[in-house]
Amino acid sequence: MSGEFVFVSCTVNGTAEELHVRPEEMLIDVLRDRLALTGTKLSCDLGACGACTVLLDGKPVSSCGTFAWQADGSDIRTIEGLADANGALDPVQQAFVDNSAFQCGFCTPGMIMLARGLLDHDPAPDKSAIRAWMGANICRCTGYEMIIEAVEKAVLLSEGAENE
Amino acid sequence: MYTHSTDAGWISRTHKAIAPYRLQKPETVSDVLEALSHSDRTTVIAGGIDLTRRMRGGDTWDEVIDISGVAGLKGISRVGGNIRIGALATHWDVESDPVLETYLPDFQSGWKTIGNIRIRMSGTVGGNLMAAEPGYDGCVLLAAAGGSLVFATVDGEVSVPAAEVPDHIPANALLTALEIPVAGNARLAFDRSLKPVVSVAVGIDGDRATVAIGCTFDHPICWSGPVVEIDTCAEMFPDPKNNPMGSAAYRRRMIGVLARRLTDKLKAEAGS
Repeated sequence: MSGEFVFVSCTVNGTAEELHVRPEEMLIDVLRDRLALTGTKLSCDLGACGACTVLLDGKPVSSCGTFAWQADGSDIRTIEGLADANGALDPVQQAFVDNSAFQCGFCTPGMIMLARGLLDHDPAPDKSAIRAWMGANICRCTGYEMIIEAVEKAVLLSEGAENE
Repeated sequence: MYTHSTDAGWISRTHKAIAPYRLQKPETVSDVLEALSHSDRTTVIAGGIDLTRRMRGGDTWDEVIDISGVAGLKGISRVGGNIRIGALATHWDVESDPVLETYLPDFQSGWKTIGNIRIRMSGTVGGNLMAAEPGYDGCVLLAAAGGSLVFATVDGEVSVPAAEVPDHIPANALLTALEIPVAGNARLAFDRSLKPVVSVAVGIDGDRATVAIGCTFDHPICWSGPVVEIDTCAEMFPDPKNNPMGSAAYRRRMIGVLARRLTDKLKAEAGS
């Protein structure tokens, strides 16, 4: 059988997008293949590892396990949408750089989007809250400690930016 | 996990293998029931956590009904002596709801341990229950709390105790809500630290206990009896699964250990 196309209207990193998608088409394929936002990575393809994490109306979701039509009417943020127009990094990105919170880097876009989702939800999480939240994603290189420290640093950078 | 055999060995399937389907977006429960009655090749989707996993693994459907926009299936409220949780409530809604925090804090605390944050923010309680997966523990908690699933059918509303799921789920029905009784002194404790081998929830109301087991059988199974018999409750269950992940003997042993431990915890908290 063949599915009919579905019209999807959404905002991706602040830009309005209108697309016709097949019902079975996944959000990650729309982002990577149609919109050329290849920062979002496909890894386990099971919704387990979180490398494909993007923010859908502020919620971290696995874009490999989300049908594209489910994003209709939503505001989507990917790793490409974090730095500002002048190239200044988001505090989470900067903290990951400062703390060397990556090695191979394949999980990093998902980790950063997950952390961004946490700080949007709770600007001042304690360490246990960070560990619980970030436990959703998998990194096979770092042993996680530097990632947790980077999120703690991002909290401080965000507070500093607010106080400036 | 769904896998398939290739020359390279057993690997999981890609999402690009998901078969085409038609998408429907009804707005009312009666429209959903009408759509479900047309064909057994029709299913529903809300958060999509479980269905996408199954479809990636090879499940095919002619028609998928998106119920995320159906009115009246969200919200958590007290209705008489029960707390009613809409089937479209997400796990996140459950863990952050003030009504549950007031009336069913043990249930809320247990539910917080289900899934990671990506699953909890999108996945619905209804999806967890209707997936009827041995390792999805929503039904375990609900059964130990004495809760029920409420279905809409063409003949009206049908309530099914969680302890009778999935055997007594009506055909062509739509899960609309969960109902959990609010009993003054009832307590609930949950341990899924040994998931996916075994998970145990213990509910105690007065001198009666309900022990619900997940992961260990094809679907959650309950035992109810006097609290004083908790030490022997593990013997009351049928033969557990026996596979490389955990032997039947180990699983049965852990049912007894965790049930005892949770009961002691609840007793200690009641005495303090």
